This record gives sequence, structure tokens and C-alpha cells, in this order.
Amino acid sequence: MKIISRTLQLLAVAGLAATLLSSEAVADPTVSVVPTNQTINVADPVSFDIIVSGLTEPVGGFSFLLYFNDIIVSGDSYVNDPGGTMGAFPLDLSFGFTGGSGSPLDIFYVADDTETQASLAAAQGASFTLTKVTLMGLANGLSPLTLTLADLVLSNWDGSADLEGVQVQNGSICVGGNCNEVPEPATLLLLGAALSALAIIRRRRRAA
Amino acid sequence: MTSVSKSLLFGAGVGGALSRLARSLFKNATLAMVAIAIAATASSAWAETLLMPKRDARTTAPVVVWGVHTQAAGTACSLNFGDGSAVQNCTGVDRSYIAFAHTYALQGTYTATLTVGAESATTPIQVFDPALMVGGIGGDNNRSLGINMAIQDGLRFLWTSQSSRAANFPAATTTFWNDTGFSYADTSLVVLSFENQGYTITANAAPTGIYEKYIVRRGLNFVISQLSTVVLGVTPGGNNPCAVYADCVGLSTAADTGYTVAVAILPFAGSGALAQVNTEVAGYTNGKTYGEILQRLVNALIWGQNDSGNGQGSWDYNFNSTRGDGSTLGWDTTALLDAGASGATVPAWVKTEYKKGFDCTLNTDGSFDYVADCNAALPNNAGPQKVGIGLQGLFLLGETGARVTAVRNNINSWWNGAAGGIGQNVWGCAGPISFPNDTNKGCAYSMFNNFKGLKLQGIVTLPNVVRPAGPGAQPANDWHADYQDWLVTNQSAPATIAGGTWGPSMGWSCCAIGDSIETAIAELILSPIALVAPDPILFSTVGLSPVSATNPVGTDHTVTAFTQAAGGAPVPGVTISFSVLTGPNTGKTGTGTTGADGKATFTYHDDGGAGTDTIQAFITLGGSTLSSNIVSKIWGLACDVNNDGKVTNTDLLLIRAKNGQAATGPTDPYDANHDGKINVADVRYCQLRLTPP
Repeated sequence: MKIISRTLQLLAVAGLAATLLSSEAVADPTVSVVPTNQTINVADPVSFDIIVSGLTEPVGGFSFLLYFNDIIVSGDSYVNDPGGTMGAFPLDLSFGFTGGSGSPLDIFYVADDTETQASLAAAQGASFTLTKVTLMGLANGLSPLTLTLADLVLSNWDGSADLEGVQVQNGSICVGGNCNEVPEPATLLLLGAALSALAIIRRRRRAA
Repeated sequence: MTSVSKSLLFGAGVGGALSRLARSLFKNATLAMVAIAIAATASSAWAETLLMPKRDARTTAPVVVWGVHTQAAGTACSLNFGDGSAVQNCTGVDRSYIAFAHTYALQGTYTATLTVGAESATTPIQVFDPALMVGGIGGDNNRSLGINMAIQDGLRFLWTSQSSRAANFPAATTTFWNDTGFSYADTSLVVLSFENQGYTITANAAPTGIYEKYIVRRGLNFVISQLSTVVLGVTPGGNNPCAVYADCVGLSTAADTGYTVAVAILPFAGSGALAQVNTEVAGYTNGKTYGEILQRLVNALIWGQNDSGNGQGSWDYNFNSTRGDGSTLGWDTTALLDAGASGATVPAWVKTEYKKGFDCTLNTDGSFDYVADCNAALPNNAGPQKVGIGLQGLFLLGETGARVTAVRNNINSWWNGAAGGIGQNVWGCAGPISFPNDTNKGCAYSMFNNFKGLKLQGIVTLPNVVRPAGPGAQPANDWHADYQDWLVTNQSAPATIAGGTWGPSMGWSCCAIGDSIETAIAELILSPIALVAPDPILFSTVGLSPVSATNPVGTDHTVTAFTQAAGGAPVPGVTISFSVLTGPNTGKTGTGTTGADGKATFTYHDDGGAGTDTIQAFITLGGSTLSSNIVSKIWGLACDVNNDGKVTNTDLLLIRAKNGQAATGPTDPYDANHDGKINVADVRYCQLRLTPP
């Protein structure tokens, strides 16, 4: 019974910390690499999505640069708006992978000009996939998958303004499975909060 | 050292207070030098020498150059015109008006210098040779110059006509004018005439200009000094003044409150300084802002509205009567309009009640009753002098249509005298023009009512004006141009040190004359402002829109000027000048008058082809020019970045190629949505504007 109680307390503290850390991300549109981290072998393909979430208005066009380590992985293919949320005849002005397979991937995509604010909103909802990307493993090592705010633009439905407050969540690809990942700050904070809670509970238990 | 300590010992104000300190310090010989040092510092801050504001002149006539100083009488004084002519000796001249008439022989800008003791002041005088001006002697520029000079000489006359000017200068904290026996009413109109020519004080900052410091500030102080508190009661309709101010107190004048409170409202509404705190007049208003003084005056006025009888909703000579007096209703209409334009609160029920009284006074033929009789078919001792009130009242009520047309036609019928006049003509207008032809020009009261009514209604021409078009953009039968011409022609001896008034050529009303009051009315009519001046900061930042726009070559473009008070209330009745400053349509101009929404528009056609125009709006006052923000107009097809006359995917690709770059400026065609960045949003913006195949 005591063990269960202690576990619940620990989970509660960790849950609160997670809520606090993630609360800001919920408020603004966020463009994320999903899944965030993957492991492959050399010569294997790996796919991931670039997803926008937290939308409160539809997107009429988007552009971004996706950076990766093109010694570790190479560009293979990409599909913009795989869900078809931006109409039957969108305008794709993407330059693709630099040099055919290198970094960065340059995406520039505009909705079909017959799409209205209402039709875009209905198709996109609060979240949709901007681009599905496939890379190939070239050599052992860790390649970050990096979106920069400076290169990321989500246009509102009619191009009169950019969506404001856009956030990014990056990812990585581990080729060969032997990547010494450095814990991210958020993970460290969660771990610290959990350890602190554990210490407090132990101290109270001793005092009792 | 002897003269310094003497002037300080008998000075006034700050200098006086410090001289008393100096006197006590002189009792101790060891501190004497310290006292002199303190007092001398104070003296240089207190004593001052001031020249008139910058002004215009012609080579063909003398111009009066004048100034004042606050140093001891007999201090060495000289006035240099700045053109190499003989320096004038003004030692011993009345220090409240040191004036010389002088003719500048050659066109140019001269710097006049008044030197008194160790102090001096300068002011620029811009002298024009009419024959050398664009358009020549008969051109629009020379005409505008004449209007400016008339304004400047009229204000100078009002300086000279202050009651007890010499005795009260500079120490008195108030100044006043008294032509009609109601000094606070006369002073209110004189102060408003300075304010509407651009001479306003800045809230809670010491004024420094000669008019701002010694006319506007002191005139407002005088009006404040004449106000007393009045406890307001709940109206029969249940409107409770205590809900506005818990003490239920309004501010009122002493006599004929029905119209003198209204007139007292005007200079506070026009002050442009509602945050100014009264620190110079003792009593109830001390420590209160002009905004609160204004609102309490307004409260006294609206709670003094008649509650019954034929005059219900109107006003009589004194508050809360049953008689509706036509001319009093006119002043109250003006006050409600001015107060509203300045941001004061006028509850909706006032206008509802007002309409009852107004409808009982305005007649079907457009005339305005002397006393409200609620019979629109029967003019009741009406006359041409009050007809313009009808247009003001209809503007206040937001009414357009038949009654506006009827009043307009009535004004038109009396424009050049009695012949053909519509309705009654039973009141004369004391002055040089004989009854029955003293119906309009030459009768200050008629001109004032017509000016405000016609301007607020946006009426530009009247058939009976019979004035040819021009010079410049003046259309034929432009009534305001006719008033301007008449006033410039009939100003009395503006080139002399005692001149500048319109008194000899005008009467005030049926029952009074007065040089100062008539000059004040002339100044108000020569101003581009019907009610009060807008806030200059708001006008300079958001006064003109749209900030940027793109239109196809060879089409029309419209910009909108917006005049508003500091608190955001729209200011109607302001004449705006528009000018295309640069670009393919450089030099195109236009004018417009702001409506009830505070807005005036200017539409022009692109005759200059592709390119970018910059446009600005101006309000030209006698003392200053208010300038709007500058906006731009791109002539070309929006998104047609390659200028081939259509928007195609080629344009989208060209914009795409600049993805991520900052716009080169507000007119960068690649930044189609004008957000300062070139990116996917611009491509989307232009994709939705593709030229159909």
C-alpha cells in the first residue's frame, strides 16, 4: 500500500512538471518532427512526418527548410500535404533536397487557389501533416532533424499575414544504433523533479 | 548692481518672491552677495522679451512688426527689422505693445530682432513680391497670402484690445475683453479664435509663445475665474446628475446662463489640453483639469435644458424655463457640437429632448424662430441672422434631406441682401450696413451661424453667391471663398499698429457691436475649423489611410483623412488639404471637409503612369500647420512584379525566388501583403489575384 502511494505521488509530481513544461506549446501552432527520434541501419530507409498542430485558423501555404547531417543520412523522397488538405491543384514550388539528396530540404507549398477559408479549415482541422519525408541511412552516427523558425512560415488562408507564434519541435535519426544521445533539457528537468520528489518523500518517511 | 537689485526688489511673481527673500538677506551684510546671486538667477528666468509669431508680408504694403518685454520701463530697447534699414528705438515705449510699421522692399525671409537690455528675441518674416509669386498678383498663392496676413493682423488687434492691457501686463494671471457687457462670453470667443488658429497650450507645461502664454492661458484663467458652482437636480425624466459627479455640482456663469454657459464651454473644448490642471485660479476649480471643468459646464447646460412648454428641450436666457429662445438654442447647439468633438460626454437623452425644442423652432421655410412656437408653418419673428443655426441643429441630429435643403435655400436667399429673401426679416444687425440689407456679410452673427452650418453640412456652393471660379481650385459660387474675400477686403487698416480689426465694417448682432467680438468671429470664419482643432499627434500618426495600396495604372485612388480629439472622438467640420508629394502624380491637390465621422476623402486619377506616389494631408491654421502621416500609392497591378500587365505564375515564381528576404520598403511590390517580409504568404496573396486566362 505504501509503495503504491509513493508511486502515485511520484507520478503526480512528474505529471505536474510535464504539464508546466508543455503548457506553452499547446497555445501556439507547433510544427513537429513525428516520430521525434528513430533508429535505423545503414542503407535502411526511414520516414517521418512534419506535422502542424494547435491550429486555430487554416493554412493557405507553408514553407520550411529541414536540415540534417547528409553524411549520416541522405534525402530520398518527400510528399507534401499527403492528406490532400490543400485542394486538388496546389502550387508546389519546393526546391527539394539540395543537390538532389543533400541538406536542407527546401519546401514551399501553396494551397489550390479555389480553396476557401472554410474549405481549408474543414480539411485541416487543428492539425495536419505538412510533408512526409523519407531519408536513407548512409553511415553510423546521429543526424539531427532541424527546423528553424527563421525559415518556417505558415501563411494564413489568403496570404494577408503569417500565422503568429509558431513553435518547432525537432527530432533526430540514429544510424547504427550506437548513438550517445544527450538528454534534452526538458527531460533533465523532468528527471530532476522526480528525483527531488523522491528525496522529499524519503525524508518525510524517515522523519515519521 | 544697483539697478539689478532695484528691479528685483520691486518685481512681481517669482521675481517678487525672491526679491523679498533678497531683502531679508540684505539685513545680513555677509550674505548680501549670495542674495544677489540667487535673485539674479531668478530675474533672468522671469524677465523676458518676446516677438510676435512668425508672419507673412508683401513688398507692396507695410507690415506691423511688434513684440513685448517684461523688463523695467525705461530699459534700453531697439527693434531691428533685419533688412538693413534703420534700427528703431523703443526705449520707454509701452512694454505690452512695442510696434512699428515697416515696408520691406525686396522679397525674402528676414529676421526681426527686439533687443531689451541684455535680452533679445527674434522672429522670421517671410516677405513676398506678389508680382513674382506663382500665379502673379491675381493668383491663388497671393490670395492665400492675403488671407494669412489678415488672420495675423486680426490676432494682433485682439492682442492690443485686451482690457487694461498695459496695466495687467505681464503680472496678471488673467486677461479679458468686454464689448457686450458679458466679459466672460466675449473672452471665451476671443480665446477660441486663437485656439482655432493653432495657438493652444500644452497640458501641464509652461506656455512660452506670446499668444499661448499671455492670451490663451490668461483668457482661460479669466473664464474660469468667472465660474461658480451650481447644484444640479434630477430632471423630470429621471436623469440624475449625481451619477456623473457624486457632488451633483455643475459649473455656471453668473447671468444669462442659457447662452453664456454655452459660450464658456467653447474655449475649453477647443483647448486641446483637457489634462491641464488649473493651478492659477483659486476656488472650487483649483486643482481640477480643463476636462473636468468642461464636463461640469456641459452638465450645467444639459441639466438646464427646459423640461416643459413650447421650449421643452431648448433653452431660454436662464436655465430650466419653458420658453425656447432661438438664438440661445443656437449657442447651446454650438456648445454641444464643440463639446462632443472634444470628447466630453453628452448623454443620448439630451439629444432626444433637444429635438423637441429644435422642431418647435425650425420652420418649414428654413427660418428659425425668435421664440419657439411649435408651428413650423409660421415664422415667429425670424430673421436671416439665425438661419444658419438650423443647419447646425440638423447636423447635431444627424438629419439629412428636405429640412437641410430648406435651410440651405433660405441662407442662399439672403446672401447678398434683402431682395428675394425667404421669410421674415425683422431684426437688423447693428453696424454700418443699413437695414434691411444687413442680412449676411457685415453681420458677424449671421456669418458665424452660416459658416458653421454650411461647413458642417458639407455645402460648398450657393447659387446666389455669384462669385466666379478661382483663382486656383475655388469653384464658382464658393460661399466660403466669398466670405474670405469679403473679410480680407473689409479689414480695417491692417498695415497700421492700431489696425487689424473688422469693427468698423461689421455689426455684431441686432443689439450690440464690438471691435473685439467681431474680430474674433472673423478669425473663426477664416479658420479651416468649424468646431475645434483635432489632436495634432493623432493626426500626424494615423490621420491618413490607407498606409499603402496598389491600383492598376490609369485608375482612381482614394485616401481618407481622419480627425479626432485626443480621446478618439471624431472632429467634424475640419477642412483638409491633400497633396501628392512625390511620384508620377506629384502636384495633384484637393480639399475636403470632415463629416460627422471625422473623415474626409480625396480621390485622384493616375495620369502619370506606373510608379509610387506619396500623399499627405494638412490642416493649415494661422499659427501652424498640422500634417498627417505620409501614405503611399503604387500605380501598377498588385503582384505584377514583372510589370507585364498581368499576374501569372511567372510573378509567383519571381516572388518565390526572393523567399526569406526583407522588403525594401513599404512599396516593395514583392511584399504583396505589405508586412515587411517576402515569403510564402505573398505568393498565396498573389495566387488569389492571378489574372484570369
